[in-house]
Amino acid sequence: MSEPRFDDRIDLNTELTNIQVLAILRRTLAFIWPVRRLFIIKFFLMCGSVIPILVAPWPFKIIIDHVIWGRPIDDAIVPFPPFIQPFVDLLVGFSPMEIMAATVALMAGLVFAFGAGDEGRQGAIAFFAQGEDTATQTENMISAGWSQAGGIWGLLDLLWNIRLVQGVTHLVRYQLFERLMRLPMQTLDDNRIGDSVYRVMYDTPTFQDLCFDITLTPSIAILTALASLYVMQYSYGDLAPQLIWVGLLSLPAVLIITMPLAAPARHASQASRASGAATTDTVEESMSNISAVQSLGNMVQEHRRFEAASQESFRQFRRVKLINVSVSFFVGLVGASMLIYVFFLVSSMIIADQLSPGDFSVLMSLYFTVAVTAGQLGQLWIDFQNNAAAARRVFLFMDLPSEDGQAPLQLSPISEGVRIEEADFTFPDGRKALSAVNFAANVGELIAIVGPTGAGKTTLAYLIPGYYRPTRGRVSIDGKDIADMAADSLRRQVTYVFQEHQLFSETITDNIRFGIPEATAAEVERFAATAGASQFIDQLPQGYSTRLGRGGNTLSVGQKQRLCIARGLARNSPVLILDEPTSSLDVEAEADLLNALQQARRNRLVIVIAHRLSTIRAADRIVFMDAGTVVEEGTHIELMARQDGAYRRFVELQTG
Amino acid sequence: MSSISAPDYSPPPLNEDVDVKTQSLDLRAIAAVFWRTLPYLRPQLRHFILYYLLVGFLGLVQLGGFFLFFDLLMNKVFLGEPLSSLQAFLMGLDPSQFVDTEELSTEARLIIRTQLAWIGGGVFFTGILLGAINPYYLTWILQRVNQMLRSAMIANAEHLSLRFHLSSEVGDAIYRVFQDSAMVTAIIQNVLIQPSVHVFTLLFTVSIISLFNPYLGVLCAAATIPLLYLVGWFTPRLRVQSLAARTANSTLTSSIQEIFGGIKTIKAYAQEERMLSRFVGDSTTALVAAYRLRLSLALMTVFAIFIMAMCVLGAEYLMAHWAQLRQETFGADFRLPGLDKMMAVLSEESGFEVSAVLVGFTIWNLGAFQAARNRLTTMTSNAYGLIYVWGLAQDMAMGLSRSFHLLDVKPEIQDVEGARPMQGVSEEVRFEDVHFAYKEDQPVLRGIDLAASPGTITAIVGSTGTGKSTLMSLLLRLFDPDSGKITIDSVDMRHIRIDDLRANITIAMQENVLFATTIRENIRYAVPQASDEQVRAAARIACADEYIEAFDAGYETELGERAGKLSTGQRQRLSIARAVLKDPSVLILDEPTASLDAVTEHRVLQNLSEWGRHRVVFLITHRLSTIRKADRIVHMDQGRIAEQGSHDQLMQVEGGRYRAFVLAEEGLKAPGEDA
Repeated sequence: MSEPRFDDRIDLNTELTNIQVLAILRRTLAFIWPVRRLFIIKFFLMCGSVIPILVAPWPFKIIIDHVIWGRPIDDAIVPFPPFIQPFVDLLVGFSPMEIMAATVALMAGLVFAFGAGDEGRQGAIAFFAQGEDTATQTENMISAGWSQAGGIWGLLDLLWNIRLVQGVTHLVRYQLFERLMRLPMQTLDDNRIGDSVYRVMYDTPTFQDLCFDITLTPSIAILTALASLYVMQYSYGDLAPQLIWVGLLSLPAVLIITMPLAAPARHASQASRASGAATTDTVEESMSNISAVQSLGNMVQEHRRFEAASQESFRQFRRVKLINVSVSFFVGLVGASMLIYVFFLVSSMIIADQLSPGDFSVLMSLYFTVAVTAGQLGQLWIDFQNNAAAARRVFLFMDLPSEDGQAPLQLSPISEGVRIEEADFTFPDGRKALSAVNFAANVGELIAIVGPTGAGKTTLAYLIPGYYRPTRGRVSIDGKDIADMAADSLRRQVTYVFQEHQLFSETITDNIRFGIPEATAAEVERFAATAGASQFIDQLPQGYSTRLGRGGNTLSVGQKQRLCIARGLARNSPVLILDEPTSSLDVEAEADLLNALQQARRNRLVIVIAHRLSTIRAADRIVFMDAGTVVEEGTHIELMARQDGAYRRFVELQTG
Repeated sequence: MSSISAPDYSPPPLNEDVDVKTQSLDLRAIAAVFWRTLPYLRPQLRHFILYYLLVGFLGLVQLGGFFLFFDLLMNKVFLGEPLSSLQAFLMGLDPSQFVDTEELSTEARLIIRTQLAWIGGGVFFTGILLGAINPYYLTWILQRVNQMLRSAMIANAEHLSLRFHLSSEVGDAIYRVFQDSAMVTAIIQNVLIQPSVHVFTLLFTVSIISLFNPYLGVLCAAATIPLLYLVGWFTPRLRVQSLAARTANSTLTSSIQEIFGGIKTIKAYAQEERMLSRFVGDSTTALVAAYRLRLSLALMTVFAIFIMAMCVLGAEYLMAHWAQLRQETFGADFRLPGLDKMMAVLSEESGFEVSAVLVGFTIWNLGAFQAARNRLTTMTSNAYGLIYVWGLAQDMAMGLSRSFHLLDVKPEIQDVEGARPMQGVSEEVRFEDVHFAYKEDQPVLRGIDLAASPGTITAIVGSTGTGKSTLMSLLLRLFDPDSGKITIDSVDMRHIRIDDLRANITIAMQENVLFATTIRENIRYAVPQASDEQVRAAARIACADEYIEAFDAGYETELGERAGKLSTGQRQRLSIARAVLKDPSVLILDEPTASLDAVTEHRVLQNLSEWGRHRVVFLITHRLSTIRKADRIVHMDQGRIAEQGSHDQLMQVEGGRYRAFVLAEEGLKAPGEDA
């Protein structure tokens, strides 16, 4: 069965077998362990919430029998259960109105403690209104609060419930988020931002649901069903043994009927979530790129795109809903046929005087409980499918290899340099970007990587901080293979300034000291000056405290580029790689920057990818690349001296 | 699970002040918010009516079915009492056997039993069927309501000026569109139906109870005073906390969005740990806010139950007292005068006894006690329901007002009435004394005068941040000038339809934004109906065809998030191809070739100048080789045009800024060579 893909590029195989669902359930259970204390207390509170159900009927019986009817309290027909007996003993010798007063006082106490005391008992609950799609319903679930009991106990139970549920969700979110951030750059290129948002926000909350569904819900449901069947067996087992068999049969019957719906339920849930993620992504992409959308005049088209995506996600949610209502329909049919059978059986026995009319309501209500419980269990199996589909979406990313892999090696301060030997790099889609590249650079050098567009300059530079891992050959720093190094430790010493200027919606100061949060204001200003950014920053009314909006606010591209360079410089790392740092700079700014870089290279390695001649000429050594390989290497003068040299031709065209 | 190492998730503190300003959202404002949802509900009116008819029908079937059922079963089948003539008639049974008899025979009882099984089965089946159809139908209706609101929000957001977008967060928009707007679906049920049902039932039961004894009514009325205080105390808190919860979740969404948007930089700077703690902080704040909101709702309802239970217990004590005394009830024979007569007539006509007695108990006894107590229970559960729904309404109002906020921001740039269509540029594009500032105190453009005619390439040069890109964005009406005007063939641009304008003027941007789809879809992003041949032609002009065809999947290659799989130079060429495909009369190239090597750039420009023979082309660039190809050069400085003219003209200007720029660029002395 092929499911629609909703733009997913990583999460392609969404099928699950029943065995895999069970494996997911088992894995989910592990999330209870970290919150086990909360869980145990919740279990205790939940058991306690049964108390009002047990106690509540008795005070009322006392009022009816011994106040209104006026029967003496020590002359009860049915013995009181032991937990109420002490109270009854207390009432001996009281007048009816005194008994009433005492009972009202007891009930008031019960109301405060458990919210019980009357049939109008309301368990504490704190659900807010929700929408008609998976995401909004999930949002409500994260902080789901309910208790069977009311009063102080119910309140405690409810609050504990929220804490437990939030605790599990928080834990899963944390793990997923961390893993998503640690994915290799190549994987992240394929993952849509809206999808990540959706998974972290709306797929993770299903874990707490699963945790409860596996543990608390079924145990209580089964207990209730068994208790009802036991009572039935006890009182009616001899008279009508069929009753018990029918009751017991209902449990497997419900499961057999809902079983065929399991796979559709899983598909529907996955599709609903995937389409929700796609819708989120539409909004994300079109809002993030609004200037492109508007300048290309595509507002209406983007709006349509959203409408279609949103429509589709609603449609997919309706599929989930359809399966849910079908389940309740079929389960209802099983329950109803069971009840009708019992009705026939019992009424015949009553007409034949084998049972009394009173037995009818007892049996019907017992059966009703059994039917409802069986229905709950059937629904539970379907809920498993829904939630397992979401859990799979979370586990999928948790299981992707992180960048660190098994590389615990910490990099000691870089003292020598970088060496790339016979490196190949091929993209997963088969494009070969680098072939047999050899490259060496030492601390103290300013190296320019030059070459036509698409020659593999950026890919080569990406190998050094390990954004890309060579498919063949090796990259080493100070003689040690970077494949053995922890990514963090490597990147603390290698700074990369990208061509795209990603800034964060923080102040300018915070953006510049992004890599070293402890940098002082003076340092920040110094680096801003070096990058040629201080002039425009000073002109801003709030200067360095200006908070940047989305993607850099109203800064021009050149200004953003300068901030990114300042951010890179501020890190003071032994290796500094700048990817076309001067493309948007004017001549003076470029000259200043190059001066600064030449200063900086004294105790570090600076690598610059450049097209601009003025930038290239400032380098100590030029590495000229073409078609994924290093073609020439040397100083500007050396390379210009080569007749027919590739670099020379390149320069001549530039100045042409 | 030793591998789980999450931060301590400590239970949120209970009594910390919420750091959100109390909104001046009074009752009137809340009502206004709900009122505004009407236009979204009205189109579904027919469906809502049908839905509630179905619900009502189901209720009637179940209620009627069970009433009939239990009398027949208990009294007739089990105890053998004869049927009433109506029952026999309805069930099609012979009156002589079933009505006019002392006791029903066993066979008769079995016949009735079997009929009952059919009736019961029918009622069950209807219940189960409608019980499945109704919620599905409701979902369908509510989704349509929500879709309409969502869609309106996005439509507005797409058209909002960049000034708005630059200062708002993407995650926030996501949250508003999805979570906040969803509240519109709960309106009918929680603001209309449920409260009306509760209020009606409440008033009805209180009147009945008062008929038992007016003091009971007084007691219930007295209980409303503390209840109102309670609700009044919690209401503003619920609103503030709801807003806080929504804001916190929206911040969390933004934070996730921003972190993944900037993931490259985060990795490059090994800041994952810091971002993780930021995420944990935001997530915890959101959870705590949600927790507080729910705590308030739970506290309010639990306290309400305390108050109501005290009232009920007090009433029960009084009732027990009256029952002891066997006191007469107040409304012993209270009948509604007109109704009474009507009932009498009805009884006569139909032959069945119909009574209009409302209370039915003349003295306080066990039955009266039970009946009155049932009424009290109904009353409390309805009062509880009303208070609960009130709590939900506060949250819904907050969500909806956040949604409407996105609708209320009016696009600054809108078509004026009678805006004209645009058919290309035949004469010129002219800027006249144009001033512009993003923020009031930071002028970006100060008096620009500039004209360009078809068939010319105008290069705009100048140092970073002098307003080159801003000038061009005015041409697209991403912003409108603060003063001065831009005309196309002497027509003020503000009088031209925006859609036309943007169809005729296009830009290939410096930060070339590509979408996460295939190369083909990216190129024909603005012209979805373009043929493959047109796409290829555009790619050829932009010199993008060579590398595209080298991909295994060619034009079908997926680009990945923000086109992360292409190099910058490749992206730039794609965005040029996209602009070319639009076949505009004005093309703006905002440093589109900065990352291209000289050879490729040369070829691209060659193709473009050929292609642009009848078009106005603007070119923002720093590169000398590019600038030289322009017909005219505009040198900008500090938001003004410092010099303009052809390359040769400007080079003549002794001490001119352009000349200085060219000399520096030509590198008579490369920087650093003297170091």
